[in-house]
Amino acid sequence: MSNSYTSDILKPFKLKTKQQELLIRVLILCLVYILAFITRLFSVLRYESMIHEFDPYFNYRTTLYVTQHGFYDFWNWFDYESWYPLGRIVGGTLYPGLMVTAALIYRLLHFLRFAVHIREVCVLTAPFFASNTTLVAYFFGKEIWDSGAGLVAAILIAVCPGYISRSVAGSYDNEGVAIFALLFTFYLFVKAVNTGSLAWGLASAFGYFYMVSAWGGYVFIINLIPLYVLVLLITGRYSMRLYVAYNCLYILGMLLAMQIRFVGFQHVQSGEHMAAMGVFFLMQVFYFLDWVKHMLSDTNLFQEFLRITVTCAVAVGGIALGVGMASGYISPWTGRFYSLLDPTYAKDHIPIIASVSEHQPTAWSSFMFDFHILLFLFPAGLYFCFKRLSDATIFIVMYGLTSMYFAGVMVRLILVATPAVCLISAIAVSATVKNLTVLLRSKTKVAQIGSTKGTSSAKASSKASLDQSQPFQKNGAMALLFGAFYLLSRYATHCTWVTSEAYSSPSIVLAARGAHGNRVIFDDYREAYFWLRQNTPLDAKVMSWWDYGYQITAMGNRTVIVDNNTWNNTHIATVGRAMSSYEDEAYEIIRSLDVDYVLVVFGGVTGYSSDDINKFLWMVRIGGGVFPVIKEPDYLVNGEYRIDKGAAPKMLNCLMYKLSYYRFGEMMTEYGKPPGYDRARGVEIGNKDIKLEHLEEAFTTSNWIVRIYKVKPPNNRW
Amino acid sequence: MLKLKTGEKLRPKLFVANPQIRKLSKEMAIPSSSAYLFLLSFFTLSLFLAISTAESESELELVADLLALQSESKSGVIHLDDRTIAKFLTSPKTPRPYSILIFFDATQLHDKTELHLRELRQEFALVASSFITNHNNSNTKLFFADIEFRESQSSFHLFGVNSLPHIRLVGPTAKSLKDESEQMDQGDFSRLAESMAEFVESRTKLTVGPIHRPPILSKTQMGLIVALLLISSPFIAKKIFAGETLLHDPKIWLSGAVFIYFFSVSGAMHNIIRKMPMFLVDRNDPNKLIFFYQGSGMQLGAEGFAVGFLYTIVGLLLAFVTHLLVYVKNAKAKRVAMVFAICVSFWAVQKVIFLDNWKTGYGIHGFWPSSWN
Repeated sequence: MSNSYTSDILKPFKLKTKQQELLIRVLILCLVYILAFITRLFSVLRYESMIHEFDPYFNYRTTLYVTQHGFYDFWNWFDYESWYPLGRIVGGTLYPGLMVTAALIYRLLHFLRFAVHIREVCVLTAPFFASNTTLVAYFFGKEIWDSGAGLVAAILIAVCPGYISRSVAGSYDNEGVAIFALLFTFYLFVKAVNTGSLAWGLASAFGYFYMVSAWGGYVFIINLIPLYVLVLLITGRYSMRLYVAYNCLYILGMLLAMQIRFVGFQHVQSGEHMAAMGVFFLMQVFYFLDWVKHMLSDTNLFQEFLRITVTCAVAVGGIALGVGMASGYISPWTGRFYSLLDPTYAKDHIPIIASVSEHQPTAWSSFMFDFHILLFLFPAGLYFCFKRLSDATIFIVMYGLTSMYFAGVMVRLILVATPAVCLISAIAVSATVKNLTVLLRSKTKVAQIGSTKGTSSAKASSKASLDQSQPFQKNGAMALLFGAFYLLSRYATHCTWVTSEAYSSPSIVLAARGAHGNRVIFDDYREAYFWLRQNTPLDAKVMSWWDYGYQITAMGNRTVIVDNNTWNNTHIATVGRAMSSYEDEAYEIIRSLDVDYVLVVFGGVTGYSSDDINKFLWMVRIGGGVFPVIKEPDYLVNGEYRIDKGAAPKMLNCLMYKLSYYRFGEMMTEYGKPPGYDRARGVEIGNKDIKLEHLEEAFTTSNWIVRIYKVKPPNNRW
Repeated sequence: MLKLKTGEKLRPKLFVANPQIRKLSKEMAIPSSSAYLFLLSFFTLSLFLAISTAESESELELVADLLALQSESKSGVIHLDDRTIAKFLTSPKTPRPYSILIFFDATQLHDKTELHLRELRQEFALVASSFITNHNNSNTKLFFADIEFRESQSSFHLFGVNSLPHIRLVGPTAKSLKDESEQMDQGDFSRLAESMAEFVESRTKLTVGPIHRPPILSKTQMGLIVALLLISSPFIAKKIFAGETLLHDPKIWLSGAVFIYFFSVSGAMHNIIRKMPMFLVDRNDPNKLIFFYQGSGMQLGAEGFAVGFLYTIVGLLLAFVTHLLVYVKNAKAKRVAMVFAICVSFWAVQKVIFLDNWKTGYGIHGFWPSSWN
């Protein structure tokens, strides 16, 4: 009785099935949106609201500059604090999208009278855009498959570790907004291809513009889309829709992209962009042929004409490319691009690219770590896509496969592959679950629409057409469904754990487990940078390995010799040479660079393994690449890298060794071990009696992680 | 965590993936003491004889002999043994008119792939032949030679060589073969023939010139391929015009796609770039093979393929169950296949997750409210 009574009251609010479905869908999307944001806040909870890592410090510094001085000053900023004595033209050597976005958000918040600090905006930019990415993923999934797949894709990408790795709060890097821009551009383009509407094409051009302004990875878009168009042309799927979409994107996108100074005329001149131009002209040829075919009634004549035109077009294109290359108008491919196509290229030719830790090739465990069950679902998703080939599914398959290949070449490109993997896996999940639930429901005939059992996606598409009409064994369907949910729950657990434990560390503050299981925080980096800021002259120049350049300028506010923008190999090699020479030779180099302080990072006391001694061979290698007096074998003993008594004499007396281990021989680091026991490498050091002649210790942080040395003036002067 | 900075923990060697320099004394059978004595006495005797004869020979004759030996061998690497070492190296007065670069070889270690002896020997021959052709057979300053362990053990002792791979340059002035000749470092042959040539150039002040690598396909093979292409081209053209090439078959595309997927996730690219071997031999127990390498960021060949295979099979089983199995008429067969698919998938997923946890050393767990414990 009470039942009927409540239903009477609720009657005006009673929704139709369609409305219910919409409500649930919107609700789920809202929850996913929030989830994507809050799961990235682990880093703030575990540490504090701060900027992470290396590159983000530069981005933060420039954003600060934008908000303080305005856009045009930023655009024309000459930064004399980095790359001393060369300096850096900041406006022309960065992708401004991220900084401008953060500055706009900051302005907007202040306009709305939220008095937030710019740092908070920067810290939360990446999570905010990650949330937006989930929405894009939903619409993208809806476009290529159905709304169920869209929802699943949104959920998957919200917590996928491959994406979280570069978008936790505090990771204020280009990739944070770029993945959003990337997926958004792709979505708009696919939408444009599907509808053939000029408006969507225009939108995709603007999406592309945003992507170009945000990240160098736009090269992926400008090569993938032509490739996709080419495949459509080859497989006979040419249509007016494609013509409109591609031409609009290419012409407008190109003009817009050229407004970014860092890209500029590269867009029409560099070899990396030539594929897009070639396909553009090919499209015109196709259109022209279509028109001629329309005009000519005789098919034989047309065949002849076709042959001649295609041959001519290809020949002209080839000649143009050849002339362009030969005359130097079209620049050849850059090293980074080469190293993607021929992965062994970088290792042999460009040590500076090969040395970066995120440019290492990917092992299977990294895939597992970043994708977890999505890896299992991916082949199934591929299969589903091939079963229902359309322009959109061809696109997602191509995106998935190319990015997967690149992810295998470089660890960092897992990030680019993540959206595609999520989408394709979402198709697999959604289609499977949909098939299964439809079968279950059609058997039982007890349509419990509001029941909590079925997944959202299944509900969302419950009345949609069946992929398979053959009845399943009910038990089998139940078992499979259960298995799928179990897997998905494992995925959620995995992602949460990975986010919390592995991807939330800011790496500028280090955490370790103490002897009693408690957390120990090492805040040595900031200690050192603040020391620099407060105890050194304003115009002091600090030399360190390039990894720490951005942080020193941003936090220490002092001029550095080299930093993470590794554009000048010679300069870096000079620093590498100084670090790997004997002290008196190094002193010459240091004097010539006008250095006042030398900063080294040392993990021997704490057991911090990514310190300068472990990176030292790269300094030798990069230094040796430019200055052949530095030879790698001099630092090795029988091909082995050692620092103990058996180490190479050159190793034991080079500047880096001396600066790292100065006075370390007197120190007891671990109970039961001799003094001078290096905990990062687990050996007793070979040279305990280190005397410095031209440098003196200025400051060593509390855990010895950062050591700063002052360069003495020449002897006969004071 | 990924970060834009120099990667730590660099492995110092580029080429030799896991250089296990074998101690020869452990690996090789040491001759019994009597035989050893005999060898030694024979060696001294031969040395004595060699000295007495060498004095009568002039330097020019030695060079002529070397040239003759060089022209006898195909690659230009002279095969030396105890007797000839004595003849060309120990007995002539220093400074000798030539340097000799010696490759220390041991046939019984050729099957130890991690030493790359055979490969290095080929590269060495390449340097030799390139050097000779670049100088039109007329250079008498540098000769390339190799010594085999079994037949010239005493020479190995003479040079103090107890580990392989080992390449040594005996300069014109070197009196004591052990102390005054120069050993080529691991780093110097890490980049194969090119770096060997650099070593030679830096020590002897002779130019080696460009390395002439043999083309990957010999001329006859090329001819064969061209002929095949020519013959098949009309058929292919016909097919293309008829529109029934493999390119028009989605199944081919699908298998290609799955292959690319497999290739990527199995870390094959990692293996190619890092030149990882398929498996390692346990250092402590040479009979045991290591297939799985503990530690993230590194992997062995076989392990990647195994895991990639597991990934792929689960995905394909899912597709198979939802798209193909439904067409099977027999309910029993259907049921069996379902159970089979579920079991295999369960096993594969469990296996991969277990392996991943083991490899990375992470224990992944959920975050439940603390009151639940």
